[in-house]
Amino acid sequence: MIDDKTLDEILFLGRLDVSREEKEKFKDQVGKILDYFDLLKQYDTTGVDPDLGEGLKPSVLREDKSKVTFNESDIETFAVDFKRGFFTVPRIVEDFLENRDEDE
Amino acid sequence: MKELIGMSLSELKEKLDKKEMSTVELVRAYLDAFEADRKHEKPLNGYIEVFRDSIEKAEKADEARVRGSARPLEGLPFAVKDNIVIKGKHATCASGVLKGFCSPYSATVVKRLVDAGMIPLGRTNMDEFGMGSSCEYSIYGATRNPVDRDLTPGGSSGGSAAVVASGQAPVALGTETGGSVRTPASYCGVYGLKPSYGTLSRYGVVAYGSSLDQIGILAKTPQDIALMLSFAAGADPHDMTSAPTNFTNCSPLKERDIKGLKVLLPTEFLGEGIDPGIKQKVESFAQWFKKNGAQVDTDSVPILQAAVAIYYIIAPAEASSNLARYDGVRYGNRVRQTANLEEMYVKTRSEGFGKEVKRRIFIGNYVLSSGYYDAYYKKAMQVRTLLRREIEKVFSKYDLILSPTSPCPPFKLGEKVDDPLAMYLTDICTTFSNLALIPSLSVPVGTTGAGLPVGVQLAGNRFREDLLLEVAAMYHKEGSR
Amino acid sequence: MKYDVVIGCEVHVQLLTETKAFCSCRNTFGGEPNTRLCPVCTGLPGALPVANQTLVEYAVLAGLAMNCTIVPVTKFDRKNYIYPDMPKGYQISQFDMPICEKGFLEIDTDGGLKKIRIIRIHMEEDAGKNIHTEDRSGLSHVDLNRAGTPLLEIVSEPDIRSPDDAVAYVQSIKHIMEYLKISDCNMEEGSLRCDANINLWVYEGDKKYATPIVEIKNMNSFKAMKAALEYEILRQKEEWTTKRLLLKDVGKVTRGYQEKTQSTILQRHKEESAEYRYFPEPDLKPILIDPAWVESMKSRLPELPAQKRKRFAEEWGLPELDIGKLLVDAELAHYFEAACKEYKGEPKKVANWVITEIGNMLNKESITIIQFREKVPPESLGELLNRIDSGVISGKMAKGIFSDMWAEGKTPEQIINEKGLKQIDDQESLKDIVREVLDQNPKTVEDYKNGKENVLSFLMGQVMKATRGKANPRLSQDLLKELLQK
Repeated sequence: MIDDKTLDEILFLGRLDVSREEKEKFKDQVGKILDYFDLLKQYDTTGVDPDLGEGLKPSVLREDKSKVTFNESDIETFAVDFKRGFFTVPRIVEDFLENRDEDE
Repeated sequence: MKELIGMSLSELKEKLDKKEMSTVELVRAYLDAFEADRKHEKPLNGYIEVFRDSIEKAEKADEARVRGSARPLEGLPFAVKDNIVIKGKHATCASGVLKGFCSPYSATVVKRLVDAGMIPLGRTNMDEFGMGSSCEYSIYGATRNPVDRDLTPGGSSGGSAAVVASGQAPVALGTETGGSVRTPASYCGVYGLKPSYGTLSRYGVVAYGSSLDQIGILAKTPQDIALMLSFAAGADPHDMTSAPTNFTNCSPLKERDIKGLKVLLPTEFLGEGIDPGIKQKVESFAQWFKKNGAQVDTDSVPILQAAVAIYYIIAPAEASSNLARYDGVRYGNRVRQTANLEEMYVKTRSEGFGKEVKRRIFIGNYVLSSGYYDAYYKKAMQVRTLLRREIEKVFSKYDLILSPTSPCPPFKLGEKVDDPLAMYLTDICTTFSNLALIPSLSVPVGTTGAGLPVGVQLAGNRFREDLLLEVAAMYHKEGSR
Repeated sequence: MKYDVVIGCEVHVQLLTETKAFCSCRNTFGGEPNTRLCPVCTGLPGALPVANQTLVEYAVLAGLAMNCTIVPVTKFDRKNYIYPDMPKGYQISQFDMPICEKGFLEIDTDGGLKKIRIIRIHMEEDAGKNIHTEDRSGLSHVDLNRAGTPLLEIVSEPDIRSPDDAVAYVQSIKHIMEYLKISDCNMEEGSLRCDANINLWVYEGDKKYATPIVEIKNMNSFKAMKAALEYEILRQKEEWTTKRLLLKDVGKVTRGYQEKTQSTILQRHKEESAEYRYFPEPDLKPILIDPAWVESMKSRLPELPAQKRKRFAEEWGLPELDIGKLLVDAELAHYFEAACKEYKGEPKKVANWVITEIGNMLNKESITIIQFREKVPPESLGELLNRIDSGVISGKMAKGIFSDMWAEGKTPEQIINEKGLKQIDDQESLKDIVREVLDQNPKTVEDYKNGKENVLSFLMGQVMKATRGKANPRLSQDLLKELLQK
């Protein structure tokens, strides 16, 4: 069973929230699914590489030639908030701890 | 005389080519069928939207025929699952987060079919982002099964299967990650092909599990699928994982000698948990093979039992990353009036995604996190390698793997929505082909004693779609149901 | 306090490919916001990345130039984190199978050449830009033009022992990139960015203590880099004296350099910073690198600074100091060599001119050597120097002509002819002038005859004055002496 701390941390990674009422049920359902995955333990995978699919040679990669890109009206067909040439979002909180560190 | 909407794509093509009807008549017949169904007490709800401009396109197709400039598939309609983008049309993946999203570009497969003359009829309903096996996890409500409207049509491409089965479209595109085309095909009694990974471009297919995703085709006959495949397949410069296959010659399907084919019936797909009625159908399909001179062996391939667990680790892991872009910054739905960016993210995503999607994002982030990565994600990737090796071994000896498509017949709507693990286990027969990148076809083989549709699954070696379709066509022709 | 400074650098360079790393949008700097976007770099549903083959080629070139091993199989991975400038919610990068491993660079320091080991070079894509507005709208803006720009990240071992060496290391990467012509490495525009990890090893008796590692970000110039590292050394010394914090207790923290105060301040610790959930990018297949192909790429390598350094010493016999100055810029070195081909004298003289005269000119005019050579090709410099040697002009005249060559874009020949600057070396006419000078200065002539030979330079000056500097100095001197003897 997942503890509340783990639940919150993993939910945060996905920027998700689950209401308080749903939390127990969520934990129960997800816990059962994770338990089911335990059946993989029976397979010996020592020295087995993860499956990455077949590789390609660089020569078959995309040729470095530019192509026409979006014009503004293309962006406007899908953009949720596009003003004066920019996508806009609520203000981003600054990354710095303004001069507080010296007291820490 | 057979009604237009009951005809296969190939029959319609012939009628259009012989000018026995107009494209406008044809398109209108499907739109009328959709409208008529909406008045039903329990509408199927297969379409999220039908395109009114399909009539104009039909008029143009008719003009092209008059001018003699008709393209090979001119005027043939098709339905498109709501997670495959079409330029100028909305695409939501039946999710709240993509409400209002209008695509400025078309998926490669859609573009190829449209360039060949086909007309998109509408967007079909699905489980949100393809995550589900019953077509119930949709903001547009569940799709019903045309055979019995209280049952699920299967998922996630339930809308696509329902519109084909009910005569609201001759063919439809669905998508597969772990059975999402084959399961609804079997529940609704139509053909459903999941091509090999790489056969059809994924460009423009909204990603769920990128190493597994593939467009699938739902149709009334194997020949219809072959016709679609012959125009849609082939390498795409927009998709590095697409393969340089050539299916241009697969249509019309050739006569296939069943004699001498080697077929494996894995015991893992015939044991506990398989509905007896379905098991009986699979066995009678095996009889048909034998009667026609094929060799059918029953044997155990133990690693197949790991498929569902591998799948439900890898697919959510990839999904947790693929769905990170739905943040309300650029497109789709944004929850407004939030204090700051972080709150906008959490509210937009928590309100936009449904329960099942949240569960899978959670599982995906969990199995990729530093403390759990080795035990879950890495382990699953390694067992996937083992599984692919085993499947390769099988195909070094056999031509086909025969099994049920689903362990159970279509179940009641609502029956499993709150039991995710039970829902996942309906995928036990399908996920292995996604993991092994091989093609699989669900073949409708009649009904159980209770009158419920049954699908039998044929899986072949990678890029042997032709074999699956040809065998199915022989079966179809003999009317051996 | 006895201590060592320990610095490792993570350098990001933007590559000069025509298109972005994973889509066909143009890769250029600046421009109107959000004008180089497509479904892929905007992160639209259904869009897929397709790797640019030039990105892989450039990574291999950079790896070879930095003495790395090029791996036979490489793959891309997703680095997951959510930020508005990251349109997909993840960055396509490389995690456990970077394209280049185990290289080294030799840097030119006060203490001679030093070897800095390189752990890895990997390919990744740049993010867009968040623009934090100061207005009251409460909004931030996002420009995605830069999203998807191809980057190389070059990670060094902590082999660097001083801020000066750190600057020399990054400069040496810049030089290599410029020699390879795969990046313009402009720190101000952000096409070269460096984060440094720094801590101290403090020695007390026979014990060694490691102070917490600080990752410094936001150093936007070489000057800033030096200042930030110097500040950080002082701060860490102070912190060690007062708090005795140890690496094993604190780990690693991130501090941002502040231009205004020339100091570093602690950055907010992002909760998921260690939780990037790297996994193999399923949309891009692994890339197989054939050793034969790597060999063929070696032939595309230009002569690199280290090789050039050796050759300049052997072939041109230049002193170490001059070579260092010429190699700062590959184009400057080219210019020098081209001028040497034209010039018949000692290469050292060309080097002096390129370093001093051209160096001053570039500074004064704020131009690059490429802009300079458009008006003054290296052949012209060689020709100018030949004229000095053949006595057509004096060294002093040459400097004036050189200025005119740049200002007017003409050859030395043209300027000498047009301005009548040709040295007067016709014996008869010069003799007349000398005679005239002597006639006008009878007292000085007297002094000379009385043994004051140093008045000769005064008389030379008078000859030059009379000819406005055009008199052939050697001939003038000979004539002066000759006529004074009479």
